Amino acid sequence: MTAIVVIAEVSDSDFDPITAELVSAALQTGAEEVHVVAWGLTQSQAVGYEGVKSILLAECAPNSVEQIKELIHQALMRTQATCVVASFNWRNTEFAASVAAMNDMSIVTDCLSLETQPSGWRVSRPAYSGKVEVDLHVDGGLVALLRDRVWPAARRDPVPVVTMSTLTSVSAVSQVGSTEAPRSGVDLNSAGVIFAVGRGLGAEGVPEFVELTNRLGVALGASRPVVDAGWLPHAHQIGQSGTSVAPRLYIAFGISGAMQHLVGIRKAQRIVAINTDPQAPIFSIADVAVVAEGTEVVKAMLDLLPSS
Amino acid sequence: MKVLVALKHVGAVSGVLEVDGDHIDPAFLEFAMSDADGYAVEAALLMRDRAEAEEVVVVTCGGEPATAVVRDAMSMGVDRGFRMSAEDMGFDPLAVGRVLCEAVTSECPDLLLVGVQSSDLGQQSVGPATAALLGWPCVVGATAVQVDGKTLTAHRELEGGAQEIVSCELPAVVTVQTGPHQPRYGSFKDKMAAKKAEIPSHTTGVTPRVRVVAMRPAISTGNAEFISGDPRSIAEKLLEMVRAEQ
Repeated sequence: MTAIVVIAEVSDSDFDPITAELVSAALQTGAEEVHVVAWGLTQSQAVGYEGVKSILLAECAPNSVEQIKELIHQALMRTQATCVVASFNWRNTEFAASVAAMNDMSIVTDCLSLETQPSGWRVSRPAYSGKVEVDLHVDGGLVALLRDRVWPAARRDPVPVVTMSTLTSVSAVSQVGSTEAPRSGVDLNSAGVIFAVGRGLGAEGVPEFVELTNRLGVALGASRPVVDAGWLPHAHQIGQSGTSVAPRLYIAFGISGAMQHLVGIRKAQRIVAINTDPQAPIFSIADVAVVAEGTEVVKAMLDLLPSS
Repeated sequence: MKVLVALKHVGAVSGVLEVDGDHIDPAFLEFAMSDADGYAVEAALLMRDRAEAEEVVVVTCGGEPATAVVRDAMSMGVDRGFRMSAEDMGFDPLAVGRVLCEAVTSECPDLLLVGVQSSDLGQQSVGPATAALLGWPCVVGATAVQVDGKTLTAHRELEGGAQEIVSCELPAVVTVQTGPHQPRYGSFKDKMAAKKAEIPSHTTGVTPRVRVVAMRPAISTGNAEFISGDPRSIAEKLLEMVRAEQ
């Protein structure tokens, strides 16, 4: 018997819509049993999905990575599962690899497909900055972090809920301070139109780009390398370690599209990408692709806009 | 205090690529040190500059060509480096973790630094996996690291621009994020020394459990509609799109 445990994503006192994708991915693998591990919900909020065997609900929410690892280990012991499925996000990468190490499993992140095999699992994922897709064979158990928006959503349906106790394990890493995100007047979350700048424009291209966004009255975003290089403050950074955005229109200038950037813009309604490399990974999720030098397009747009 | 920094020799596809079954012809690849690993080396060198660390050693895992990244780090100024000779296990972070455990056993560092993710695969897993195998605490995504006696303090990024400061006891593993401390260029003397240095290699018995069975070019254009023209006509089209949304 092959069983999978799915680590739920929770938001607003319910399963986040991503959980439905994780469940349908697990159900499609050919595994006989799928269980969902969740915390941060009450028993009545934990309404399950069609085809799921049980929901393993933590009686209280874990407050450390150690407790999360312990809960997943408990769930694996209880279900005899040989695969853990979770969403590929910043929080989950903090514990996923150690869950694999603790339970003698392998790990593959950013999975685009997942199926059972006689002696393990078969998964596909991107390689070489997204320019290549590889099929991998995994011997034995697997922790698979899945890319979102690849699988359809599973249908909701009540299933039995089993409670798990949360242990009071002590974390070896303690927080000694924190700083809020700087108040910068940058509101990328609610912006309708975002222009984002990447390394491709070069340091010298940034001031003109900023001028363009000011004249147009659109929000200014940036890729991680632009922020690392100190060309723009961190508040402008879009992507996995920055802000995730959902504008109606997103225009990327000179951004090649590292996976960490792409996950931050998947919820944009319309993506336009301008890049000199016709094989840039950003074109894979763009609605409109322009193969051109970003700085020249910026100059041409400025020429068309009167300066005030 | 001794710092060991793990480096990955990564291939990047340049221009048009051809896939041959389960691999890419190396002629289509340009190899270099993974981006975040350069920041890990810089973080270690900053600790040595501040006299928090006495020795900075680097290790890479792979075939003979991977010694190039050891030389790169030596030309930045690290004290020495070596290679764990292994078959290709780039797709198996746990296997790399097991190899790094062997390196830790022979070197006995107080701190292991790795890049938060590799620039080719971005699995973000080698650091946490190695820490779990060693039973050491792990700090993920640090942009600054300091050590005072046996206590490590790190600044780490959270989503949305917030930061936290965490601390733990050594020995520990820290994954280093790219950030404001750009990797340095070494001195002429360091560069010459790196060129001539003997890079020792050690064999390892670790075999990967994750293997490539097939590879194909990603469909990079998806459903995108391509528009072309001179910069002015492109600019006009883009302005039209923006105005339709405002």
